[in-house]
Amino acid sequence: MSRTGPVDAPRGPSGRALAALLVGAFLAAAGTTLLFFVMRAVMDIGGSCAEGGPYVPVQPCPEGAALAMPLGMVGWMGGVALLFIGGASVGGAWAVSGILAWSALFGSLGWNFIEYGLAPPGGGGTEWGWLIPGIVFEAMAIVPLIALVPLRRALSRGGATTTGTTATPDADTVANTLQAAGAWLPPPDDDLVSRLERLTALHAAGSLTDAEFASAKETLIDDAREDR
Amino acid sequence: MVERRPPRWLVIAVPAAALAGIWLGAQIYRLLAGG
Repeated sequence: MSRTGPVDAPRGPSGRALAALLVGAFLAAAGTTLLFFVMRAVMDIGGSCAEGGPYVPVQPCPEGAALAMPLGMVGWMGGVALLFIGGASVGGAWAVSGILAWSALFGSLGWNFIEYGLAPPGGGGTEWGWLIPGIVFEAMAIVPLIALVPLRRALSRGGATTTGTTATPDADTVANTLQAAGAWLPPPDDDLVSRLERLTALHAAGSLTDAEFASAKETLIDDAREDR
Repeated sequence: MVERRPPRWLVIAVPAAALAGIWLGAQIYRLLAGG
């Protein structure tokens, strides 16, 4: 890959970060789907099952559940990890995409609880033992989404998803909104002085040759002049 | 200024990947459940 210089701007997120985001979404969705179906199969036979061990199984598990359950859990957890890792590198609103996987899991499992709670497979009236966990699961799914609303608004106003709008909030507004939503913010470090300091440190450490340092320094100063 | 702008196609690609994941999850479950 040819590079035009030590500071070649603008640059998109790395291919690895994009791949992590895509594979993460894929795995988390596959894991959620598996867990959703296993849960329904187990609830169809009363809500619990056991196999193996020294005891005679009272209620054998539905076929495939013993494999589908751990497979779904591992897939979901791996997917969420990739979503957070990839999302953090890609930046913007993508940094919080892992939260959507959380809401998808608890939302869909909560749906099962509520559906089976309102109409238990064995007949009879409302099964509160299932309805209550359903409500708890849905709350666990919805609360992070509510927190995402101000966060997403701030991120998309300041990020790349803005389309055709001329409203650009100042950095303080974005930072305050993010803080209100409980987001961790890195210290502001994009001013010229700190960029130059980092560049000088790289030069001093021997990572940049004199020529590269001079060229990068010039680019930074030019960029700062253009931004003004 | 060095900017890291997420590509716009991610808005389509990530939900598409999630849909593909849902499809795969359902196929795996069907296979495991012997249906």
